[in-house]
Amino acid sequence: MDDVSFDVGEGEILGVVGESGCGKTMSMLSVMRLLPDNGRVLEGSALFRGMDIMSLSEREMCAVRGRRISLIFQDPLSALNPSMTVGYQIMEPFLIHRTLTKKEAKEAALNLMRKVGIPSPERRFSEYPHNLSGGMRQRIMIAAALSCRPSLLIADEPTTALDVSIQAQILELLLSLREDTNMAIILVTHDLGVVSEVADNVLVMYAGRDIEYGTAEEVLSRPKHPYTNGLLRSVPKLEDDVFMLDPIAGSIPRACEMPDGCRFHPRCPSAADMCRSEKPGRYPGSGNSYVSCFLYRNV
Amino acid sequence: MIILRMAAKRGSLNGMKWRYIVRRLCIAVPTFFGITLIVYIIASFAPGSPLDAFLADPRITAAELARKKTAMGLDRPVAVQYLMWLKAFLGGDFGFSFSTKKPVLDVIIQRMGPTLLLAFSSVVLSVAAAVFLGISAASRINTVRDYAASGLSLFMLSSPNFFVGLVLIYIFSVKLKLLPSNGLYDSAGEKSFGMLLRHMILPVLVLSFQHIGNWTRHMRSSVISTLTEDYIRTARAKGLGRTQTILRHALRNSLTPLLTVIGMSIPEFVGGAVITEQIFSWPGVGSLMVQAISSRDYPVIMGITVFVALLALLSNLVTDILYGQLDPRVRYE
Repeated sequence: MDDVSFDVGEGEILGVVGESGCGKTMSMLSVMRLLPDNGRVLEGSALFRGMDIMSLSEREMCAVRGRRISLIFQDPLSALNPSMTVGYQIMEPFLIHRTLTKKEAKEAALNLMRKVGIPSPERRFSEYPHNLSGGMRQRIMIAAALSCRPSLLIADEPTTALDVSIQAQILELLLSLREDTNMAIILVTHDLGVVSEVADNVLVMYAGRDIEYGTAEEVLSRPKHPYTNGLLRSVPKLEDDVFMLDPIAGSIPRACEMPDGCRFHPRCPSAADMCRSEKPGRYPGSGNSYVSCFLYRNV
Repeated sequence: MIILRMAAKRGSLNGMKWRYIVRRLCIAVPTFFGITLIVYIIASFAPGSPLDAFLADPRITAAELARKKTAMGLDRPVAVQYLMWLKAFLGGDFGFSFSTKKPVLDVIIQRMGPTLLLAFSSVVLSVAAAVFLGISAASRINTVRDYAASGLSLFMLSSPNFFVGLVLIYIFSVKLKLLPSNGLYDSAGEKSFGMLLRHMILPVLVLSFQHIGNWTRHMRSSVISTLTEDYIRTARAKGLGRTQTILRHALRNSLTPLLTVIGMSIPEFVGGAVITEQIFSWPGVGSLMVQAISSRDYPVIMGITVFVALLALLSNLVTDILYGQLDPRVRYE
């Protein structure tokens, strides 16, 4: 990861896209300060309502996690504890962050379960994750994440492990929850369809760097960076008569052998000499948008 | 399919569990008799005879010996001897000890108390110590704490208990004169509970020593692998601190692999306490077993075998049931 930056406003949905392994999940985990033991934030800041998360003590950070900022994960089966009832797992944030009695917490948890659309919550409350379907499990994850009304929800590929029909339901649920609570959502995904449906703004990442940012409309219909272009071209479109996919040649470089200069240059169709040696800056476009490519340096 | 759907319902899940227990008990019956048969054959084929004790008496005649041999049933083939023992056993008769002439059942029951006390205390101590050391090591891997706990467990695992027993007796009984080294109570003074506790400390420590080392290593690796699970990250993302996450989310899921290891070693605490009971002159089943074997006292050997075999079979069953309690995904089928 190297020099990634992004902003999310209240009530905004930011889509973070990129190929698998480009550092999407790691950036999100570093915001939560939950990087695995072999990872460390060397430098950087994360401002949350004017408070720098990176400078908080571990204890203060625990008060932020699950209460101000919540996280939901890709695979709800492995992200839920197999030996605890789903009811307890939804109540848990209440028990951590608020002084509720068990009874009050249970009542609140049942309300949440109703809110995220779990039928007969009283019966589901005492069931274990393996008894539920994938969609139900993800609803449980969302209910647990929302329990303390966080102002930011980070959803790390929340629909990747689900059936397409369930995907749509979960996205709709996230949208309606945003309406109700005005929380900001960072939606990490590699599914451009999902982004175009729900995101307000889009951040494109490649090999541990952010390379393009703008409104969803702008980035998806008028992509600037050659990588974003390639990404969009490799999505099959129904309206095309001929199904010819145009994948980006090559694969993402490994962390130990990152190319100098622009990290995309070995795969870039319009790479110039400069791209091989110098790192491109962030060149602004309309509004807050920017792109990190020398092609747009003088625009 | 019907069975699966039934199992999903809470009530019939309990039914499944009982059926499972009954089936396991049925399977245990032939195993049990197999064990008694094998032990009887091995004991009979071992060199020496229960009659050897009478040879110490210089006045005994050959005719007298032959009469005793017939009276004890030792003149018949081993298979017949076993069947005779089995017939008596099924009628609830454990027979009489060849050497002390006392009823076997009475002797064993009298010895069972001290053995179970020692075994139970040692299991509790071993589990508690292993869970604590295992978690301490696993929660901060590759730190001084981990090396200390892992090193200690390796040391404990590789110390034979006769050696540990002697060293502890030398330090605490001989040199420091802090703790007694034999029996249940002092020979003088009132037999109080406190006195019993003081007598228990060293034997319990010795009997637990190797198990603590072994189980700590299992617990450490189990916790380490549990901590890489996604739900641990979820718990941290909810705002639980490191320690709380381990205690609430990792502990229970780490115990299942350890449970198998513990269940398999339970019989060792009773049948395997032989050496420890010898060292500390503990009046338990283990030291009775040593006496019985050295005098070829078949009825006592068989009586102890029955109890240890039952305990082994029972602890296996209990382990499997507890497994289902710890992990709700386990199905009894």
